[in-house]
Amino acid sequence: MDLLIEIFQTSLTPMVFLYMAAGVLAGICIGALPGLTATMGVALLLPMTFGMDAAQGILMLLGIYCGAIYGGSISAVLLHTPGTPASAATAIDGYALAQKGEAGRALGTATLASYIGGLVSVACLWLISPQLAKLALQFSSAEFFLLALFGLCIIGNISGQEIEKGLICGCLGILVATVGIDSVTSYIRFSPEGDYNFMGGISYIPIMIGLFAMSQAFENIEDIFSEEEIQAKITNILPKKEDLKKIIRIAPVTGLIGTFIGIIPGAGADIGSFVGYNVARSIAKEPEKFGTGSVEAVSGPEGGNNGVTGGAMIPMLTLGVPGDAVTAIMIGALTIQGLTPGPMLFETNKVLVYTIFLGMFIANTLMCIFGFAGIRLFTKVLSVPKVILIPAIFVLCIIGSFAMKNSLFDVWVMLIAGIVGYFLGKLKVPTSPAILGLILGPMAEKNFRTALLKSGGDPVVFFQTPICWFFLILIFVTLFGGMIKEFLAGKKKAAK
Amino acid sequence: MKKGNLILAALCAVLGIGIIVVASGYPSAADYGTGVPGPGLWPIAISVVLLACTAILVYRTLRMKPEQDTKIELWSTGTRRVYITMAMLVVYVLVLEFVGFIIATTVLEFILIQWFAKKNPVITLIISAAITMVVYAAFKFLLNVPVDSFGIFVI
Repeated sequence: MDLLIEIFQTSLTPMVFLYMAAGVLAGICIGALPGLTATMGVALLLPMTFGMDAAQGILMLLGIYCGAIYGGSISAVLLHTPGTPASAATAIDGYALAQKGEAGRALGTATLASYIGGLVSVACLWLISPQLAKLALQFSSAEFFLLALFGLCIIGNISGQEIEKGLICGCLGILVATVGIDSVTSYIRFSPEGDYNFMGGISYIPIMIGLFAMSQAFENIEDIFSEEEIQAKITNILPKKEDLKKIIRIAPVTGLIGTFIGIIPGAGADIGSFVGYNVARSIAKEPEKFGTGSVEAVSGPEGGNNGVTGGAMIPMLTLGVPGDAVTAIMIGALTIQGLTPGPMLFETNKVLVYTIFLGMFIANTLMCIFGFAGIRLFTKVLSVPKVILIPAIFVLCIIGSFAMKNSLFDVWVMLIAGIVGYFLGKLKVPTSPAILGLILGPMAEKNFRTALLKSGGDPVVFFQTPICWFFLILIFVTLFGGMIKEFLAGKKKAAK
Repeated sequence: MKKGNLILAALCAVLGIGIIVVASGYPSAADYGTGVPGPGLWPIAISVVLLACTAILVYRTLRMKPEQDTKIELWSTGTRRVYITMAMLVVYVLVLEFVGFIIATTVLEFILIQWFAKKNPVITLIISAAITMVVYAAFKFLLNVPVDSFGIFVI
């Protein structure tokens, strides 16, 4: 109770509410616009938080995150074009409902299901995070190295069919992070002599702005003249009793599943959405209606993708490991404020941590209120011409990357990352692994060498505790689980 | 896709080998005498993984069946538009330091919007100036970012 009073007295001030509301509104608009994703929105608006205090900045970004994941459903329903990849599954039945003249029903379902999914994930964040942080306090360098290694191994799982391309991108991220002064020996690596820009290391925030915002803006330039018209009429937004029953049956389950998907480093809302769709089909009362415009089919992915938001925050806050690309950017936001995400954050900045928890609940509630109250207004966002929006995004990318260190060097880094990201996209190379590499690479290297320093160079240090063994098993399963499964399936088939 | 994959593999191979060569010259664990691996070990280890992945990419690309090979659009009207935009942004960042944010950005926005939207030039100029001023004011006054710390207006 004392903590709650302290939170309201010190952190959750009216100004913070204002920033959060602005974040949710901006997020819904960004998410609604096809081609602009939640990651792009957070990367683009991150520099806005540099002048704010930690609670204001992080809660505004959280507002954008929750809002954008929900906002994607607006264009998915109205245009059959998901605003964000997280709404791809919603487009299937949401658009089918809109075609039947029930766009309002689909949007109302998406709003409520997103809210329920978000609430479930906040509850899990609240329940799991403190316990996980307590456990993580027992981690030494060896455990943190294995945790980071596990996070890096996951790159393979999030790289789609061509795993080697994801791994290449992850390696490039790790290698970029090695530029500059080595944190253990202070040796200067891969830097031209006397160049302070390189010696200080390449910051990952301009890289993220380049990879996620600039490269996407380049992609949008390709078909900048395409314009889509909304033809559906939006009526009956508030769900009726029978729809309400369906939503309440599906969304909490998919929200919970989405939360656990979010906890896995690297797995984002797009995966949560499709898993949510499949789970919804398996527990739905009318699975035969899936694909033809079913409320249950809209509830599933929307509960799932918003469930990911809270889940992704759990490893970020407790372990310093990003749950997805958006939380990777949030690590940057916290670092700029002088805070290090990880178990110590729960000890040294308890008020901030619980402010984030409470703020996430409020952000979801605001998202629901804005969603129901302003849905007709948000559909107007879809009419914003790309021909003006994209040039404005270029300027925001440039000034945003400059703002962190007031350095034009960072602007070049961002521009190069944007150009590289565009061509990587053409070659179907996923760019998220690069961010995992940039964040987890230095964490893995530093802890690997610190552990060896403490043990006098004895590698047994990585096999000494049960937590080490837990991570070693996880790493083994991540790397070879698929192969073992295939081998066992082949054996079973041969036996038959 | 085949050609693209092979170009990517070649670039990664050059990068990986280059890093191994450079990092091999860094001090080793013995130089520190503490049991800590030297600063070159990690980049070398990651470069080895990079080279291994590159080898897998080359192997899979060479074994790719013709029907699996997809065409990458690198010279369509849309992509040419992207390349011109990239070139314009490179020029913009080059001149930004000398002419300053307000002039460089207004000109960039004017050219891009006029090119894409083909509006009345006066309207385009107003939109360009408005975007520039809103961004400038937000960063300069709300966020205290010194966007005017370079260019011709700096004394």
